[in-house]
Amino acid sequence: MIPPGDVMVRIEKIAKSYGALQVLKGVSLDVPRGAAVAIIGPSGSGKTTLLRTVNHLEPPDGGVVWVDGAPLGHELADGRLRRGGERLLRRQRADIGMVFQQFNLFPHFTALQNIIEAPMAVRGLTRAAATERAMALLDQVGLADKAQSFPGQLSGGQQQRVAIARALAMQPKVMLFDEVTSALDPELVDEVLGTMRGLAQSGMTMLVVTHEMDFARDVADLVVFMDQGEIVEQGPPGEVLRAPRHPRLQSFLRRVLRRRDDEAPE
Amino acid sequence: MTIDWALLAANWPRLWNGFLVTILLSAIVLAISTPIALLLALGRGSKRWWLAWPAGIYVNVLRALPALVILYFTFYALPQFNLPMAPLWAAVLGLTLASAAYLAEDIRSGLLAVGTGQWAAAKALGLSVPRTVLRVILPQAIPVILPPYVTRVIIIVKGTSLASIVAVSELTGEAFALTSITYRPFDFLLAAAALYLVLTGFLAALQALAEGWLARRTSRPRIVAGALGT
Repeated sequence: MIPPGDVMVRIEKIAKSYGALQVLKGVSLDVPRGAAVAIIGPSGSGKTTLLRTVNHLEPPDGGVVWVDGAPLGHELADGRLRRGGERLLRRQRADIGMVFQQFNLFPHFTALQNIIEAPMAVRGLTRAAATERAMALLDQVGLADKAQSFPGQLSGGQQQRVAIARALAMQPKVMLFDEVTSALDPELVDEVLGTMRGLAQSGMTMLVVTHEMDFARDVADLVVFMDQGEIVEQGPPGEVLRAPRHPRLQSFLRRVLRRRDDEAPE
Repeated sequence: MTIDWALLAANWPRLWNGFLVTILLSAIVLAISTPIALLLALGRGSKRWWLAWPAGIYVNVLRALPALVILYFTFYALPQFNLPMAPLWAAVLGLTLASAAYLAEDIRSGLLAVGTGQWAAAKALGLSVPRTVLRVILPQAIPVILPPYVTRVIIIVKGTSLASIVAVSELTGEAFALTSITYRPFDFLLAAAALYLVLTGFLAALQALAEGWLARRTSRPRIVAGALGT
């Protein structure tokens, strides 16, 4: 079904299996335009796989993802979906920003080169225009003075902020965040979350797979709890995190909060 | 045993000519087989079975055959199908077919050393596959590929001596021909060996230069974190 205009991302009955293991069991989710959605759940619940099917880094076995009214990897003709080619998918992917747990910056490029590569190659921007946009974004993530640094010369938090700027340089309609603070030293987590918080406030539609319960509580408009390849519970953070109904969510939150309390130095 | 320098000097033009043919043959074979090998390596790593299978079969069949058998095929067997070829081109074809299979594996090992996260990031940005390979993957893979690649190139250069068997007048062939004319095998084989050493020594020196250059380029700390994805 073609989603209404106020739905930026519609995930429709997405299924994915690896051999006999069914990782996603027909997951559906609507992400309103401008909303920040936090996806939480135990490891192996399928949340990262779900995120990677949104831009078809993992092509789903079944189901359709709609982004801004267009079916990903498909063409809509006479109300019917026809599978499109790799070229169509590539064009659509350019509108979907993604940030990875391991940053995945190009190590042989400077921060600036990392950011301008795709706008020049995919969007056809001139080097001057791409550089101007990149410098504005580096400024936005607080790294204007690191434009000429290589990723290996930056801290994990700085690398991740460059990665966010790289994704934003494509002026995406939606941003996907895949456990982007999990590989960071604890003291570097906040600078990345701060950047994401600012992005959410600016009205960017965001899908955020995260273990950061504070972020889910404070920034997300909608919290989605996944377990065993399906969405078990979803709602505003106040309801889902404070008054969880499903036993599996209750036990997950107990585990997560206990672990955090154990780790917190008094 | 003394070397008959006068005899050697008198026949030097022919030996030198063979040397040039060896260089020419090596250069053509490498120029063609290297890009083919890159495509084969990429094909083998592809998720698309219709790319991965043919590439895999090609590599595993061609590297399993003696290069000489392949050369006999291109030189003697193809004319049977009305595809006669000049000796040089039959040699180029045969040696290229074999070299591409070996080089593909050397290149593939380097491509594998670049983490899948780099591919994913490029894909997510909407970069095309050729652009991703040329701008993102190869620059990181080349330092890994270089040592086994040059080793393979040296083996391939030496392997061009097989072309003498299909009537190509390259270095080994000329040295051997002069031997049977002069009955001085020691002099001429020694001269051929010296010329091979010059050529492979030059390649080894190139490798050392390239590695030194790459090491200076990567001595900046950037490869440390990014390439390993930590």
